[in-house]
Amino acid sequence: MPAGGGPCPRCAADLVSWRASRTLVLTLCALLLVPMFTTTGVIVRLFHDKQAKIAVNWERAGNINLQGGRAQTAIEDFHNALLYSPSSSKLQLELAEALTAQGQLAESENYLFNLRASDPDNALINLQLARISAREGDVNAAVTFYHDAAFGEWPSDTHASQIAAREELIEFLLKNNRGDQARAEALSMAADNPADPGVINEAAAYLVESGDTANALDQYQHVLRLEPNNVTALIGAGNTAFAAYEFSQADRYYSRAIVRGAKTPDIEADRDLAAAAAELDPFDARLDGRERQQRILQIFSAAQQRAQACMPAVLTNAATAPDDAKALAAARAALPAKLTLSVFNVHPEYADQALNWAFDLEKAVPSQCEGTLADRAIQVLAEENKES
Amino acid sequence: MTEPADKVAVEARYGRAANLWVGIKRFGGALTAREDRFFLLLAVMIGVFSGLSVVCFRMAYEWVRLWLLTSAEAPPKVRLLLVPALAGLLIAIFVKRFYPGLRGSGVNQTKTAVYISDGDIPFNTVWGKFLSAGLAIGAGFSLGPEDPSLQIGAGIASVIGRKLRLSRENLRLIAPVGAAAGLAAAFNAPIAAVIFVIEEVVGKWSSGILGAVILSAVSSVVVMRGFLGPEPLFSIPPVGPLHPVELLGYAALGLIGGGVSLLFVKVIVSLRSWLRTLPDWTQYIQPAIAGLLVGVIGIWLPQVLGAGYDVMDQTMHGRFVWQLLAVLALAKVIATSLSFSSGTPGGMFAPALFVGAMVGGAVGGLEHHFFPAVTGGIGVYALVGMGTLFAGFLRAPMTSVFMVLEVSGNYSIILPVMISNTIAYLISLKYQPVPIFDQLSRQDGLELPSLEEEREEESLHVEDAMHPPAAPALRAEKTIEQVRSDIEKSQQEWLLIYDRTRGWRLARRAELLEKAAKVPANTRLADIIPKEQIPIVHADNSIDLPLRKLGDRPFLPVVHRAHPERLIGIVSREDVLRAYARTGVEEVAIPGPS
Repeated sequence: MPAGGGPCPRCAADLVSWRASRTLVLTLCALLLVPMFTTTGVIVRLFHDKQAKIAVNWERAGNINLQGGRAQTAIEDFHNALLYSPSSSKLQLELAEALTAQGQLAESENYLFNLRASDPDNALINLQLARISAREGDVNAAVTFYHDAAFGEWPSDTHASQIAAREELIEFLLKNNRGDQARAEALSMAADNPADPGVINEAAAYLVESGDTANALDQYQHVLRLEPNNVTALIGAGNTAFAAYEFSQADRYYSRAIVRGAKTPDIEADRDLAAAAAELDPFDARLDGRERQQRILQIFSAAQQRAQACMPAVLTNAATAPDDAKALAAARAALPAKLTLSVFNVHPEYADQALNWAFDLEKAVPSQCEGTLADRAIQVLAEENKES
Repeated sequence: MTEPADKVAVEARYGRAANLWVGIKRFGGALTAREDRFFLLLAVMIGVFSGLSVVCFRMAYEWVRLWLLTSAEAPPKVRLLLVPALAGLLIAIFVKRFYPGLRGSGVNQTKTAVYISDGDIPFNTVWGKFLSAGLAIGAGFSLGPEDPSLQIGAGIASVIGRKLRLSRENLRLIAPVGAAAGLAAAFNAPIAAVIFVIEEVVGKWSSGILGAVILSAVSSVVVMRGFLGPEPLFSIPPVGPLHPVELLGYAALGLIGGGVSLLFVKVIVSLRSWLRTLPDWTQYIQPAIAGLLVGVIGIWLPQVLGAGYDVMDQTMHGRFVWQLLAVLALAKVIATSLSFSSGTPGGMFAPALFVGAMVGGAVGGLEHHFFPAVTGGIGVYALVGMGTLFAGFLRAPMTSVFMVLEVSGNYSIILPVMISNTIAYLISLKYQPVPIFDQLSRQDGLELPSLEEEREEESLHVEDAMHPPAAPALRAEKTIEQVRSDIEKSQQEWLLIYDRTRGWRLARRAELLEKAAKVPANTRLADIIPKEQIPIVHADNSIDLPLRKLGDRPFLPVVHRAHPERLIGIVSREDVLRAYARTGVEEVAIPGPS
């Protein structure tokens, strides 16, 4: 730097010239920045476009491979895609999905936790984490993530996605013998969607699966109040009523379902069975003593006929009967040869003995020896008797 | 008389242009009037230019990679065998025939410019580095872009500085300013870049250089982020709470990282040293052979190709098992040693970080295998491992800590980082006393100042040279009658006097006695002693301080810091010389007595 500030005019001139040249250089530098910024901007833009295209291509290939069941190739594709779009949450999520599918849970979890840290309410991320926790057997973590997924932010179709996540949770709980939790989730799902018959039907089905038939029936009945002709609810209610040994009610629901178009052989068979069971049911609270004895006689008579056809040994002398028929033969021998209402009047204890013998016989008859509808109904009644 | 209309228009046009130029000159004059202010302005401009250049450099090697090795992480085998080898041959011809100065470390080349060439870095070095390093990294050589970016920044700064006819001192300082800008843009980490340049290139924290370095680093990062986005180099997985026992794990990482750093340095230095003993013509084929070998490694381990930032990122997300991470660390050491030692332009920052991430991930994975309850995520170990190698291999302990904090944005890992880095640094310091950059410069026949050696050098203090005073100091507030006998009994030629209000004085005994004889006995000593206050020193001052303060005085008082009236000792020029002689410290030029 030239010395400045001195009195000599030459030095002052030098200083002025020096400053002017600096200003010129600075100005030129500033001007040079304009084309440099422009050129760099264009280059970067071109490169980003190229990167985006490459990422999209790899992503597409990854999705195709993932859908085709080639998870390992999909993982490589998604890794390649991430090289060109490293901050893409979508890609990381897809990679995590592929990793989960391939069983590389730890790596998948790392990506997901990273994503979750920046977007904790993202339902898809939480759902993936829930699935990983489920696979790892960490039930509590899975439930937490499923909840976060169900009540998180979905990219589209929020309602359906939420329901699907909750259903997945309930199925997971059922699979892990957490019936109480599953029941609570199902009831909560139904309660949150009081005007959606489809969801309530699903919830009711899960309630049945968790063993809560009473609440399931309530839910089906709720649907039927919303849509009296809902065939799914009618069948579900029929099944639930049947499972609760409410045979008349089941018969009515099945019949209504058939009237509304559910004419499959299964439903009709169920309806017939329910109707037969309702006709024979000796435990119906509405029956008086005589009517009950009459039904017992009907059951006993059907059982006798079945025994005649399939296990005649039980109707012979207990001493000569084969081992597997000895007990039944003895029980039959303890009863009079012919049972009537008047016998029951004299010996009311014969009614229960006869009923038990009929139930035992229907259970003991080999399944190859096909019975009538009444026989199948008696078997159902036997189950009911056993449970009660 | 009226002038023709077109002439008026032309004059008006040129008049406006002239006015604009005058305005620019005035504005420029105001900005450039003061050198310090101008230097700061210049730092910003250098930062902008460096930021732009680094963005272009990154684009260059990314495009080259796409063109030559395709977009797949694992390129086709044929390409792996051909591309690095052919690129190596091309680079060798380019470097050997046109730019021989491009071989070696950009950090050292910048230091050479600062300490040997008065800050002069030719512009063709910038171009040459840009092209050759861009081709090398893009073609898969295991080298990083930070070192070339640093040198590109320094080169741009040097060119601008010369065009602006900066003073020699400022020209020397401007290269590190550009270096910081280049490094900051390459790392997207301005703090780490500033500290590295101060720690490794400049070696001193002065306000003038610090302000300029910070401004250039910040402006380059702003430009870089403007084009490439604000995302950090790595997306760091969430860091959970640290179990106290886990600190032992990080200590183990420090130990292993220190060992790997040593290995890495030894391999590079030995291989480079051996390759330099081969005939000169082999320098044409050394990069090609290195490229071929790197390509062969890449067939099985494509992760080691190039800078490897994406692989580090994936490691942090637990992509690799610990066994593979250990293999990758070893493969990267080999690939980088081959690439760098063959003279291929490119840096070692990214490879060091890569090896650190792999070692960290491997240690984390291993610990997780045996102690899953107390071991955090592999990602954190990988991150800490990066800092560990940075501290152990590059021997930049402060930079290593700040770099990890900056790229992670998470201060909860500060404890593991500090523990691991310190251990690795100390191991490296113990078993490899000369840092790698200094070893490389010595291989090149240059004796650049070793800032670490300066840092670590034991310095002498005043307490090593001082000796007890022969007589106690006199008090200026006392009367002549009170001190006369002390003065008369003293055998010293010079006497020290302490004045409570005016500090320490030094007086000849004879002069004092002469003056005392001329005044009444109850006169205060303060009234007859010399008015000049003498400098004092403290026991912990550097030993060279007395030399600078002594002047023509025979000695200086060494006083207590909390009690300035308390004389601890005295120190003379001879004392200092004796102390230097005793410790065998290099001779210093000491001015003779005037």
